[in-house]
Amino acid sequence: MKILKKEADDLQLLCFPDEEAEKGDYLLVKDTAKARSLIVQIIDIQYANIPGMLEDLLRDGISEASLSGEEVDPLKVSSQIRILKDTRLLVGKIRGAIENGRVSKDVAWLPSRNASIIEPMPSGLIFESYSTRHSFEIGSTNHFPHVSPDLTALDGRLNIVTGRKGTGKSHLTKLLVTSLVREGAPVLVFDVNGEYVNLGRSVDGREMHHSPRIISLIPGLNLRFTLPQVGLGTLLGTLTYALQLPENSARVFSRIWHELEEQNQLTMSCLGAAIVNADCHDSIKDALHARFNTLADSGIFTDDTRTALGLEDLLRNHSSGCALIVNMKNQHAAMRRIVVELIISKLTDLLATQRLRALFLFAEEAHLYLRETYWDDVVTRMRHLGLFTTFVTNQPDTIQASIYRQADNIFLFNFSNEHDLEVVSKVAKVDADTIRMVVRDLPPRRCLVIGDIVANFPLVIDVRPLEIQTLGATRYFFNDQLAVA
Amino acid sequence: MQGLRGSQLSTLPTFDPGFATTQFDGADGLVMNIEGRGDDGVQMLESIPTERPVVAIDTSTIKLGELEDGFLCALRGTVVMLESKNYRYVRHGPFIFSLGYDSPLASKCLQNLGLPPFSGEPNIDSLLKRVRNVLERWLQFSVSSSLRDGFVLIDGSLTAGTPDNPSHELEHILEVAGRSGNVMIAISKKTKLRIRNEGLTKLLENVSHPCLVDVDTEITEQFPPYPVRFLGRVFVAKLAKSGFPFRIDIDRQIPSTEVAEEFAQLAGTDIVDQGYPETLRIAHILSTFTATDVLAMQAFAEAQFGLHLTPKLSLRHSLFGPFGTHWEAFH
Repeated sequence: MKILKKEADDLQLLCFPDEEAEKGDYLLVKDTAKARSLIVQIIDIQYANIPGMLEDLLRDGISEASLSGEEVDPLKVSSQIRILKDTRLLVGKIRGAIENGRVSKDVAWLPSRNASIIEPMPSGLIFESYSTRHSFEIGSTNHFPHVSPDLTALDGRLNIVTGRKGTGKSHLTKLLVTSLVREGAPVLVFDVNGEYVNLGRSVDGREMHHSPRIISLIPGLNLRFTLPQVGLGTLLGTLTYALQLPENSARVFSRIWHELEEQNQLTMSCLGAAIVNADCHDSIKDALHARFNTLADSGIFTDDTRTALGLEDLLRNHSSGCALIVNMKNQHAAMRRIVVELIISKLTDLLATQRLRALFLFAEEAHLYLRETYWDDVVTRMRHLGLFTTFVTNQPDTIQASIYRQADNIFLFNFSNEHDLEVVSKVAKVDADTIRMVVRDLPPRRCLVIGDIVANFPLVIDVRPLEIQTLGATRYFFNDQLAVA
Repeated sequence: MQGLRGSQLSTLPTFDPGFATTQFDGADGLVMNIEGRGDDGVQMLESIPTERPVVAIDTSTIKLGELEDGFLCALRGTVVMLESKNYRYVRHGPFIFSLGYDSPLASKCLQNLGLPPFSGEPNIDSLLKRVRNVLERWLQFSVSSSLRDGFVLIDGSLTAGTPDNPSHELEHILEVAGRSGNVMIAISKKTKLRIRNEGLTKLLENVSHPCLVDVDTEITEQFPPYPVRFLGRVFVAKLAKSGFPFRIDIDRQIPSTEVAEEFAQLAGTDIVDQGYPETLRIAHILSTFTATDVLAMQAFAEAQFGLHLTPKLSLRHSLFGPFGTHWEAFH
């Protein structure tokens, strides 16, 4: 390989046919005279723009299409022409440098075109910077079979998993969830499609050793709360945001709640009766009654303290790590919003009062149930409280731009749509060129990982297979189609 | 070539496309004004399809770079054959060689190629023409002696008689071709011959139908009989409707009464899109050196002969920078 051009952090290299290079690969440009190296990642591979190539290809086209012929080339010069035709241009991004055997960010120097040797970067140089305290195997790269970053890079961070349908987002998310659980972390998953409930089972259906720590919560069945558990603030938030209760009605509801609380009668049956007998305008009464019926019908509320879910107790009892899978499959939109509103309010309360240390939240297609005001909350207040969110979506424009800018880790699967690429290219952790050029060519199960989890050296990773049951794989009519979860 | 090992090769900024052609129409260096003539001589052509084979020959040369004592050059030649409605080709080369300023050595090398020696300082361009002519004439001879009852098409003219292009070789080729029933035709894309101070091809400017005009007498009378010899009869012809007119020379041995029929058969046998035979067009395309070829040959020379490539200093660029008036200043 030879250096062709450098402009800002772009480096263009000529790569000859006998040299191997793939998008995402890291190269070291070793300046032998200066005894230091540039770390360059290939983000695009093009044909080298060699003078006369158009004429040559046109000539080949003519002769291949309508001519048969014989070459009398005693010097075998045509082999040189073939080399030139297959010479590639590697477009690279400078990611750092190596000086005295250490990775450095000082890239304000220019390697010599004559004295530089370009070779694949030993993967160890990147992976050496990974902590090994809570490492997990995520997959492999082109040159390294086992990439094992540290889960602490997800701790206290905001993460995004995105890519178009069928590229392997859920697969990776399941890997992250089970890895966190194995390392003793509490995880909560908002499962829109009911595809995480079998995370504790092996591919052949056997229960795995972490199976008891995978807890499926179904709203109305084993996900139920008593009114005192929920509290006025949480319930009022649910009524206001999930069920659009007007402000005047909310004030009346607060009054009713306080009266019942004073009388120690905070039950659903008493609440229903209190609304019917409330001293207020009929329109307010009707509004409250309609919302009450919705809550009652949801089955989430119970007056029986034995069947109510003690979230705090549940998490305390699984202090060695667990995944609470909130299965919202087949739930209507309002129900999802109620469930999410209640759970997030409850978690926020537990975190704020130090009754819960921290929790990893995985939110699939969050736009279906997360209210507008939560987006900013997620990256500011909740993060400081200890709620670390990972958004998973195949519609990148449903996540606010501010989330992309503040995301600490991004797992990008294939996108070919320009609009989607434009949205995800707002990620602050890497330049837009890298995203646009690498992501559009990613095959299923291969993703571009950006951020703290890869020590800010973007990596193209083939996500490893999972030994667990991965429900949620795209269902096909014709079984011979390859389905990718 | 082994003597060049380790030498420095100054690569040229680009190559002069015009150099690749060595067409010689007898009017090199002078402009001829032929006395006016009427339109009476224009003879219409109706194409006659035949199964006769058509073979076209073309060669190209190029300078790859400047050596300390000469130039590194390349040569390539192509033969394209149309037979039974199929086009086939044989491409010879590229052959890479050096031409030096060392007179005795250059002269000896030319003698080894069967060319006459020269005296005085060697002119590289002229020497290159001679080397090219050797390949071209060899291909023409090979084709003329192996083909039967076909058309042999070459680029340029059937005019010879300069040191670069001796007449006896062409005479011999024409004789061999004639013995095998072949008709040798030379087609010139560009001619310096003029009539009434206008280009020769202007004669057929207002005629769209395929036609030809015999201008042989007017032209040959204007030249002394020696050294330049017109071994072909000179015509201006348009081989296709609305095609371009070209100066076309046909072997003088062909009786004048048969010339029009030969042209008509050529037009009916080969594709003559835009008035130019397809075989000759393909031969030209396959012979021509592209910039990619040049790069590959320079790389080959570097690897095989250990030459050190350095870009040639552009004096204009050095002196005038962006104000250099020659194209070279921008390279």
